[in-house]
Amino acid sequence: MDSVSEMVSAKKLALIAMLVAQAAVLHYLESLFPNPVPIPGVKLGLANIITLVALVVFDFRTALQITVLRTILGSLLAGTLFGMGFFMSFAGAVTATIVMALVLRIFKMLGMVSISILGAIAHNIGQLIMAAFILHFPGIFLYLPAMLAFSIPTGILTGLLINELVKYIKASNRVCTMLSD
Amino acid sequence: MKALRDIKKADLFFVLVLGMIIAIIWLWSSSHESKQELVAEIIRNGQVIRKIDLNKVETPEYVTLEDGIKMTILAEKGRIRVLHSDCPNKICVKAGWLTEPGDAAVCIPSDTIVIIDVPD
Repeated sequence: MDSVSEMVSAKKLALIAMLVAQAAVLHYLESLFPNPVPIPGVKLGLANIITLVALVVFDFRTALQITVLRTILGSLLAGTLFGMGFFMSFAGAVTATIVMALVLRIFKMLGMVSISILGAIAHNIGQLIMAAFILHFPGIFLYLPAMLAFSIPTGILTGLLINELVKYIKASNRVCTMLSD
Repeated sequence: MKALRDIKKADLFFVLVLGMIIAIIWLWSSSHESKQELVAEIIRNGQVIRKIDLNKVETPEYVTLEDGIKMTILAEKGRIRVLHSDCPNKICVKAGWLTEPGDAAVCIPSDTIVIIDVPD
């Protein structure tokens, strides 16, 4: 019995490590994209995909661990560790994780698209709160309407990607359990 | 397009409602922005000789500076410019319309500055 639960946790550990690695790379890749609009902080939010997948596949705690690890590792890769951008994306990512976990639990009728949009909005708000805190300049919230407008298309895109990903993960999970039976 | 079929009805509804809310926030904040103060100052020899609130100018207003180098300034609703100047380089004229706080047209030979005040 003991060895079985150990095996399961090893599998889980491997999947967590994989998700952290993927999220860190997405976080890094995103920082390489040139920003098409003159608003700092607008991005696709690809790394958020992994957070939401982790929320669906695992639970809040695991997803939060993955998110925290990926912001640190992703910033390390991008060379922005402990810079202002790091603190902003850290605050944003954690806020997004908390909000998405709550929405996932409370509003069961909403699909991945809505949840990822809400995650993007939460990310923006968390980011701006941190920026206002660092800069001592609340005027930075003037960016919020523009950022919110971009969170809808980016949220839809990542939501669709998450739909597909979750489908594949569930399918592969079924195959795994079939094989182990 | 297969992926689009996985969007739930609740999602579509949610996106529509959210889009409207954001549009309202956007409109509200941009209507706020356009009400910014636009006060133009005409300064000659270091002294403010005229202050014009550009938001309150209804009919175009010409200001002519007679003593020293002659200069004509035109103020309209929301903008102001140096229309004509007798100075040699016409840099103040080439500055064109001033529309934002901080915009300025400067003429060194006649020691004249037209500037839109930056609100504190």
